[in-house]
Amino acid sequence: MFNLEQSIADWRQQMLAAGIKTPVPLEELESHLREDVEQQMRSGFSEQEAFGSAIKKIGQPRLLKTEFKKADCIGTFMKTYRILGVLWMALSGVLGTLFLFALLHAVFTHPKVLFLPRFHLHTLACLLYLAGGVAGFSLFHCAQWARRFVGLIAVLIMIVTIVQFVAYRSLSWASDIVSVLALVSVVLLLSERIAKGLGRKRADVA
Amino acid sequence: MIRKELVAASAEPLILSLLSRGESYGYAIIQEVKARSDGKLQWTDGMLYPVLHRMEQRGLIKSRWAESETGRKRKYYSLKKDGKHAMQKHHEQWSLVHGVLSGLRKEQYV
Repeated sequence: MFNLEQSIADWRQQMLAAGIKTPVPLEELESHLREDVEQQMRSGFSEQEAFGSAIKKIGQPRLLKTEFKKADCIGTFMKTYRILGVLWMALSGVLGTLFLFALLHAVFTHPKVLFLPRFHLHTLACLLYLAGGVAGFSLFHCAQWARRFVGLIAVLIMIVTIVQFVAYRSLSWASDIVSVLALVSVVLLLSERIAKGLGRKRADVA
Repeated sequence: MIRKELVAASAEPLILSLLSRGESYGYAIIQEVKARSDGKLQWTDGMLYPVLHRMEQRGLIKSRWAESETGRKRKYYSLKKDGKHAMQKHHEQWSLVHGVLSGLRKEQYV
């Protein structure tokens, strides 16, 4: 005698064995399965036939696991971007603001600094830090354009830092911090690109 | 039957467009797509959920658990702001492809 509840429990075991974890997405899949079984029974199929057809339509546990793993991978990157966004806001944005006040103070107390190339390099770095802070805010909110923007700002900050180091053989602690953040950001953004490239295969709903 | 690659590529724009009409859940989405395409656009049921999860992770849609009128727990999905933008982008791109194809088809009959 066919027992639907027992069959669903067995199916859940198969899904768990394949690595599809509870409560999400297994609960969601089970809800779908029950809905489909009910719908088919209303169309005149027996409980056993409806269950057999429904589990067939849901698909192989192993394939489902592979697709859910890809979704989890995206989730991990999104969390990383949120953390990265906070770091950009906290470090680049705050340091950029402090840097701006220091530069303005320098201009008002020693106007001659306006003619020094080093001052212009600092101003450029300061503007990049502020832009990094704004980009961090957008990155925190998962805006897609923010990733490219942060990548661009990070590369420019690294270039300016290298120029500063080559020209003056010294770096401020603010430059050190933001440069490390820029380097980490570039590595992360590139690693996502590489991961996407490796798993370019589209989600197979067909 | 529509080719597998096309079915896969059209999943995201179809889900976004369906959700732009109001929140829905997996089973209803599948049934609606099937009905609107006269059964020609058929998804492997289970494979819809990883796509929904991925879209949720990307911030295009959001979800909430609620009880249906029959008392069953269902996960309802709805569109987010980024999802609306993504849908507009999809519509533009698919319209472009459709326009090019239609133009070429017309030329064949001239």
